Amino acid sequence: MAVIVIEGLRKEFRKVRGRSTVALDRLDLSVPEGGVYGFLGPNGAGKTTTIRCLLGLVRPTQGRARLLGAESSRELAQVIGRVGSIVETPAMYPRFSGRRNLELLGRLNGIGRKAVDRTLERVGLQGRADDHVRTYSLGMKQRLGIGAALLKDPELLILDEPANGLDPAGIKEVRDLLRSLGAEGRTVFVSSHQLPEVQMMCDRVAILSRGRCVAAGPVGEVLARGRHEALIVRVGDLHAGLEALIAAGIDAGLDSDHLRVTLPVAEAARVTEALARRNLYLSELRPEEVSLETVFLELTQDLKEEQP
Amino acid sequence: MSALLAVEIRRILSRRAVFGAAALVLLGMLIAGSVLFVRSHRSDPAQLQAQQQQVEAQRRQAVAECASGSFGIPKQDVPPGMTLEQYCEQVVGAPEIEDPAFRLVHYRDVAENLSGLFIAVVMILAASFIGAEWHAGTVTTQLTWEPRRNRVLAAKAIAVAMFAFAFFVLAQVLLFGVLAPSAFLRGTTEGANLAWLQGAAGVVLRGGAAAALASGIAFALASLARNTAAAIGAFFVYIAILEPLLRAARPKWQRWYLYDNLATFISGHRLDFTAYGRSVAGAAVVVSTYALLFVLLAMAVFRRRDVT
Repeated sequence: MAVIVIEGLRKEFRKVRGRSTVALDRLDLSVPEGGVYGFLGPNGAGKTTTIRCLLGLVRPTQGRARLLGAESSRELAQVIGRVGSIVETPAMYPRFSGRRNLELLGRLNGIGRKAVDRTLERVGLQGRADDHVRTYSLGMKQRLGIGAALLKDPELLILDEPANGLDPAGIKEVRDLLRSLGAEGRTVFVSSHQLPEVQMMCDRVAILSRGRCVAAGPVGEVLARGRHEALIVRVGDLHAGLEALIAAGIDAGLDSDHLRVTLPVAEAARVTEALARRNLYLSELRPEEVSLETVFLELTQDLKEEQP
Repeated sequence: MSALLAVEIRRILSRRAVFGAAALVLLGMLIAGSVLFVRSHRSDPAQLQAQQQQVEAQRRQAVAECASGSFGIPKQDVPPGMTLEQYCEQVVGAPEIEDPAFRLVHYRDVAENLSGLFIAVVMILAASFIGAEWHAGTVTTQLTWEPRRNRVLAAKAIAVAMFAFAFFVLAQVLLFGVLAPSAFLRGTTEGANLAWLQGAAGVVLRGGAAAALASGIAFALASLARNTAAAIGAFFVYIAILEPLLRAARPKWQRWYLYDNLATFISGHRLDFTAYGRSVAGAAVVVSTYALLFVLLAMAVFRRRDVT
């Protein structure tokens, strides 16, 4: 069952003067239940607008967004108790302590102090829980925001750039936390710019560019849509090796300290054979790893080039 | 709704601006109360009688001088049926003896005259309450917990109105507290009977209600503008510039002017300058209607506008 369903979502922001800005352009997306779902896109791609539409903060110009089966624009109140969220940098009352902020939010849903204490401990803020939020660092505010999202013990978490402002240790903590939440059977829908983090953390991803979804699915599948399969080859004499491969009719190129051969892994034997004929012996032969960053840049770049 | 209301009241009471305003009001009252206490003193009856006799003698001398023609009043200025001496009695007027003793019955006048100041304070606090929420972005956080926008804004408006009423009444009670020692110890309580007490209590309670309604208008304006300064500026430009201009140009429209109706409602009687004004009940209805219309408009706009 899909916990988030977006169909033909379009959002235009009208300006007082001049043209309107299209933030979302017929966006379709379906997020299945359970696991961590990464929502990627360059700045201005429409990630935050999508999240605001899902949470009923922004009214779509066209299309529908459903959360846990409820229409975001009309029926959100029925399911909001099962949805935890943060939108951009979470705003809290600066002159209240972190604990007081969570207690006040909790009161809206009948959540008691024990749950607040547990949440503060889970996000690592128990030591500063009674300090004013205005004295918190950006990372601590971000943790408090995540705490507020977790306070409802939600089935679905919608997190907009939750690792913003966190140091490397904090980023790892958030990654581990989100993975553990996903492993518990909750659905974590997380937008991020930090592509290596998303690759490590998410089961599925969607890539957004200019308000459209350009790729979606399990991380492995999305990665496979990237570059053509290639092999990384290292030999003692790179130039001789390149010559041997080209002579054998294999598409190859010289990179800084290795050769890049455009062949699927299944045809790796052709490489060894071509090099062995010239008495060149391999020191390394492995499939090229394609990073999410590479795929992301290629997909979003492709769309930019298509645009007039 | 009650949880939402309780949370909003707690938020208002924790605001630095509220503490600051309360401290300033208290300080002002203490200074004024101390000055009054020092200046107020009971006169010796014999001394008072001598003073009265002296003033009366001065008056008689002035009337005699006037009647002898020293004032140079032309005969045609004397109204028909009146002698010059009678007219001089009228011109010179009754003697006034300044009584240095503070009379408790004057509290009502002081309370009435200070109502405008206290209402201005609660209006600024009301506008800044919602203005600060928009500025900090906490409205977004709150809507991710309670997406029913009408409820959210209604809870805030009710909390603001309750706070304004309580602040106004407490300020007036404190005012009584700082003025009373001057009357009891160094002045007089003459005339402070049950009827006076009822009249004074009426001014305080009607003033509290007026403060609640006026702060509702300020809150609604700030909610519409999503900005404190714009709302306060717009209100004071209207009340200090536009309405006096309108009053001069269209005196018969006085029945609809906010200031005139507020003044009539607080004082509990038709005022001298409200020649075309309404009854106290009518003024209350007009002010309540204005406040309700502004809050309903703010709710309608809050319901429709994007929260970005």
